[in-house]
Amino acid sequence: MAWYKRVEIPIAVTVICALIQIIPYFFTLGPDVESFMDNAVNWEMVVATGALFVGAISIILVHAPRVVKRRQYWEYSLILLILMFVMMIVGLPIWEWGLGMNNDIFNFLTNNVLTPLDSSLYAMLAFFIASAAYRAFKARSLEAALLLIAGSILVFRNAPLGTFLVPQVSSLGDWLFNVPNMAVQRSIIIGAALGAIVLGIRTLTGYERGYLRGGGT
Amino acid sequence: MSFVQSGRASGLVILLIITIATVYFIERGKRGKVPSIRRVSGLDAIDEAVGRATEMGRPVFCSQGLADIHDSTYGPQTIAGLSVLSYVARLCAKYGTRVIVPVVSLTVYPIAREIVENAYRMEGKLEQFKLDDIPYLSTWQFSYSLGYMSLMQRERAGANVMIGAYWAESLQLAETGYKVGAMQVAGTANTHQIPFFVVATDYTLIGEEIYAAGAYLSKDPAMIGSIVAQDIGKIISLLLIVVGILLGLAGSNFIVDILKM
Repeated sequence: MAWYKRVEIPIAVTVICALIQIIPYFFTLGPDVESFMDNAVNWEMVVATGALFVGAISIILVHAPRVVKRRQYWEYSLILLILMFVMMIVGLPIWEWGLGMNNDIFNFLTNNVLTPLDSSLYAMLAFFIASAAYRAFKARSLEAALLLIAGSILVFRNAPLGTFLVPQVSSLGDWLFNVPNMAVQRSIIIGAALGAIVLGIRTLTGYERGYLRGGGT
Repeated sequence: MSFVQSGRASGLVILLIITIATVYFIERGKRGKVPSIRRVSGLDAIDEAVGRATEMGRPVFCSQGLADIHDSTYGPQTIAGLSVLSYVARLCAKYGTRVIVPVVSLTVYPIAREIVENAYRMEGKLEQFKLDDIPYLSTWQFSYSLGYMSLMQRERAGANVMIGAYWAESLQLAETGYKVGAMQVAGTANTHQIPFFVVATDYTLIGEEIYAAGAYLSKDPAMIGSIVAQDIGKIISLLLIVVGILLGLAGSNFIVDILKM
């Protein structure tokens, strides 16, 4: 195997990039070294931005054949490709030609197409919550009953009508939210943070290779 | 001027202790002293989910959440998700089942593609790998969510494995998976999304369990050994909490002062 295909190369890059972030977090190293570390972090952003081309190419590779071969739902692929190219072209930072982030077409599409669609989808979440709650709020077991009771109290606490009808529900809801809920959340956060640290150590020592070509072979 | 940044010495000491413990337990595992760890039903269910999808002739969906791999806060969840993808892709390649990986992050895309492609190559079925099955959908949260939901509906997902950092789209994806009859395994360390996964999916991995997934599924003694180091960290945390409470009740801020060092 060619040396540049060896799995040790990405592991070494991972270790170097991680140390560039970890060392300045814990140690005071002087302005020259800190400036070097800052530059390295900025470079990471430049490299990540380069991945934009990968995304554009991927979309073209997936959707263009669909349009050319008139596969199922090819019309949607065509709309996607047209809009992607329109947004790309009018968003190019060539100010002399009137293009860029202040371009009228770019702003129109962002403010009148992308943002309203995004908001509508977010608003639809309420219906998803309703259907999930309908299934979950059935007292089939002790745990489900506790979830049902706690959830009902919090719904009452958050609804103006609930606190108007039963004023005590406000303090009970606050207690549920700030004591048992907070304790559980903190325990999950502590456990997750420890898990992330150990995962990081495994990654830096080269044992965690699942993210490298499916096992690093 | 201190060599160690102010307020970070205690964190450094705890990090060093956990690092030493991790390396020690990895070495111990390599020598064959494998600790017994509890079963994680969500991870055990992945085989069942892929098997069920295979029997139904439906594809398996596997995603890693919204976070970029270079995100220092949420990135580890994506790495954990990619480790699970590695396992799922290998299983799917073995059974000849389609695995669809909807991707939101451009930095994750080439990694996910290589993982799946390599899984098919390792099983000697590279000709079954389809680039179309690793679609980059969008960097926008709800555009991604809509694309993911549409794909699940159109392709009639047989299983849906979601391990990574999810936000408001978590419930949309989980509910859609439920509606198409997919067996679902989901996990995240984002505490506000865990309840959504609990109510809408068949198995939920909570917090630390997703980080242990790669080690757990690999069945490598050294990797499994490293999970024990998490318990060392938990013991330190518990001791600090208990001693801190007792000293606090006695009017001393000793533990708080130490942690602020």
